[in-house]
Amino acid sequence: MIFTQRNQPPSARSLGLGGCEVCGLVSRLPSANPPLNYLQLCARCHSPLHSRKNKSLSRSWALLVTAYLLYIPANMLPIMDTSSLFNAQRDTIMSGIIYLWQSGSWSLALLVFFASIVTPLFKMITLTFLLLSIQFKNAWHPLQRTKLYRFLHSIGRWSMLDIYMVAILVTLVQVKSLTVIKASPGALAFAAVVVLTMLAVETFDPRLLWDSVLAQNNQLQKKFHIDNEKALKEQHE
Amino acid sequence: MLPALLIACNQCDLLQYEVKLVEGEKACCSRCNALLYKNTAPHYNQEIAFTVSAIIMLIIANMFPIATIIVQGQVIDATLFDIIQTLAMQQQNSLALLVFITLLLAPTVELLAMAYLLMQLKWGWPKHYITQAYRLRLSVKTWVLTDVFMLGVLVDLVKLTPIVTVKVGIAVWALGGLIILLTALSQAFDTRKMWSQIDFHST
Repeated sequence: MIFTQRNQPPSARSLGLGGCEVCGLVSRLPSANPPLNYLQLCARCHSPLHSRKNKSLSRSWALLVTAYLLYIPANMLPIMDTSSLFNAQRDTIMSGIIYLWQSGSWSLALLVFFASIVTPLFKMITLTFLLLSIQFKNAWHPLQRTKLYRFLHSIGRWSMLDIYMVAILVTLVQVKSLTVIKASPGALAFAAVVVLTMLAVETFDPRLLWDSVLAQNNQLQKKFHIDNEKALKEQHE
Repeated sequence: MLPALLIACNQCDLLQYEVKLVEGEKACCSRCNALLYKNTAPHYNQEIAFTVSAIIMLIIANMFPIATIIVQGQVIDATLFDIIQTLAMQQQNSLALLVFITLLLAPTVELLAMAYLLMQLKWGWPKHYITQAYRLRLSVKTWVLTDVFMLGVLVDLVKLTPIVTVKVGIAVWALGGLIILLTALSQAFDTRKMWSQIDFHST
């Protein structure tokens, strides 16, 4: 039995080419792993050319791990101190949502819940999954994973909602009135989580998702070639 | 094959040929469906109109209060600048910086860079610092969080309404306009068209 060669879609890298990240011009890139301190500039826009984003994996991991660590204080520490003449109250993100729910505006409570609790968690877990899948050279459904990456990219910003809400409340409810609201360290930690996850998604290179598919295809092809040769030999004999 | 006619998808690295599009059409990657380029109107009139009006909206959004509350006869205004000032006064400098960058600096830089690029493209001026301006725009684009802020304002207004008298300020309308204009601008502007009009060795 003779195996036919699989048609492989040409990735720019496999042909020794690369698109400029700034202007999109496709240029020749001498090697996939350039030597240290080697820098090639785009002929049209003079930006540094990389076949893949520079050290994408390790940078994403570093940012993501930091975000995980800061996620704990972000949720445990209060993000807002409310003090009036009679009582003082400290609000974490969750207690703010519970307050909204109890005061009857459950739609707003859901909105804030999704923006501040679900989104950051979902983002961190999904990014972990994507990074692990690259690390283990998994070729499982690259298109679905790319779509997941795009989704992460589009929702990440909405987690900043809580920070802005605190910032506006703090400004509106000032010393002049009897109640004073202050931003607390939790807000800072939470803002850091959001910024770090946004940066992690930014440094993540979705093209790496497709590289493992290519590598697997290459392996398959090698196997096909070997099998073909075996089959041919057997036929000759 | 001219290198300018080749296109490598920036999300999956698939190498493809550029095809001619009718005005208003978009080209997407045949493997991962990411947007590659689009055919927009040949002149930059739309983009310029959006940029100029967005700059005006940004100025209005910064000059007028976002909300006003009235407590026991006292009137408290909050402009964007007040928010930054209050956070800085409460020793929350990093939060103040974050608000400053995402709501003031990033939109301003994006719009100014855009205006600079468009002027050079529209009137065929000698092209200086195109790459720098474009990369500046690319790097700040993610950090324009005006739409998130708008949602925050609305949630806060609903939260405060039962407790005190709150008035929506002019800045909220300007912010709404700014969000729509920024979206329209990024829809109308095509990177690939811009770069195809820039000669090699002129950057």
